[in-house]
Amino acid sequence: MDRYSRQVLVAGIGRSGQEKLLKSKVLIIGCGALGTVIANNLVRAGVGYMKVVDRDFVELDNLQRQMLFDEADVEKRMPKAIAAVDKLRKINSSVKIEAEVKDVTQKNIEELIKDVDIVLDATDNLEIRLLINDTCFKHNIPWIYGAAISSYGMTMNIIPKVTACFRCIISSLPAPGSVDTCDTIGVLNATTSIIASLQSNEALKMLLGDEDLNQELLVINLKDNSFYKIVVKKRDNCPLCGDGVLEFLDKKGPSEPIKLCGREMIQITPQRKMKVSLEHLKRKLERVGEASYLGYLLRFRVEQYELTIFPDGRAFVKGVSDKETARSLYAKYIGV
Amino acid sequence: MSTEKIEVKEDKTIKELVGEMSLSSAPILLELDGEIFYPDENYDRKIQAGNRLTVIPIIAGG
Repeated sequence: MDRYSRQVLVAGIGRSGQEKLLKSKVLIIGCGALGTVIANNLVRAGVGYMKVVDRDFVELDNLQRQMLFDEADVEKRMPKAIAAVDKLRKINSSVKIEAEVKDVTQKNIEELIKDVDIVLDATDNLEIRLLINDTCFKHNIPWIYGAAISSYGMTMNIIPKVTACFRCIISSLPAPGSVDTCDTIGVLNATTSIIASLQSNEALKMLLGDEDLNQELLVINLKDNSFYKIVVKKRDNCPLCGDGVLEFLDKKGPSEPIKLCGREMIQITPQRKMKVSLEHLKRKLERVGEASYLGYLLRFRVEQYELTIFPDGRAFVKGVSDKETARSLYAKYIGV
Repeated sequence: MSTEKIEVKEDKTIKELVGEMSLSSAPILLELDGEIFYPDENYDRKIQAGNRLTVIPIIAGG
């Protein structure tokens, strides 16, 4: 208990609050800029159990903001979840921490959230958040949305059947390429650190049973140092809040990436019928790589990869042999 | 990327406004006079010249 003495002194925590934290279980989905800060904060605060899930490897351009990684992790191409957990165990060996190197999908998410008290979102695309939203609603587990790009960020506590859900905020998935990502317009480490700190603080409040939880969408912009709260009401016709339709958890469809025979190429097909503005996407992508619009498709080269994107959102990812990397590249550069 | 304040130049519907701003398929919330609303639930709602709206993009990065 000594290591938590300064936290125990805080009004509303005390020894009994700390004991609650020591018995709590959290799941962090995503271990990038948000996930590393959240994990660091919660391990130091003394949650009892933490599971960290991520599909990616550590890369050099992660080090600017992903606080648990270093150059040795880049050199060894360490999976992020493993590298993070190695550091976290050195920080607080009394916390039980597990790493899962995997892509979170509708097939494994229910197993991952089993027995946890809350889920922290540290992901990088909207589709996975809609999946988390469905799953947490089904199992009545609160989750904390967080997102950041450039100097702009937002977070909201999503408590099933109490607050608006993520499906209220986003009724359907936007077309691929219509959402900016950190890989297309950049991100400041202060933005991700602040959002992640707000998320981890709200997590502690939830675990402590604090009634003073944030129930609004909290939006920050570090360009003008603005912080404001937006009251988000439940959507009148939300399929999830209203009818309990678990569209993203129950979906069946050609979403699984397909490895094309004999080539280092993987095809990604969006879940839904979509129309992508390839000209608009080209303007975004040419800031970070070589993009050429050929009228019926867009070819984009970055690092050793080449993405060929079609107007229906389908893409061939060349230069990869595993589906997780292909999915990750798609989420990074095309979005959704 | 940030919230964007816009002053409406002429009377129009929300659907027309988001179409003109190429935001029809973007995840956004709108704020008018302190009220937050979902654009797609309010496509027929009329806004008047001089109204000041704030566009709040919902983001995905992390």
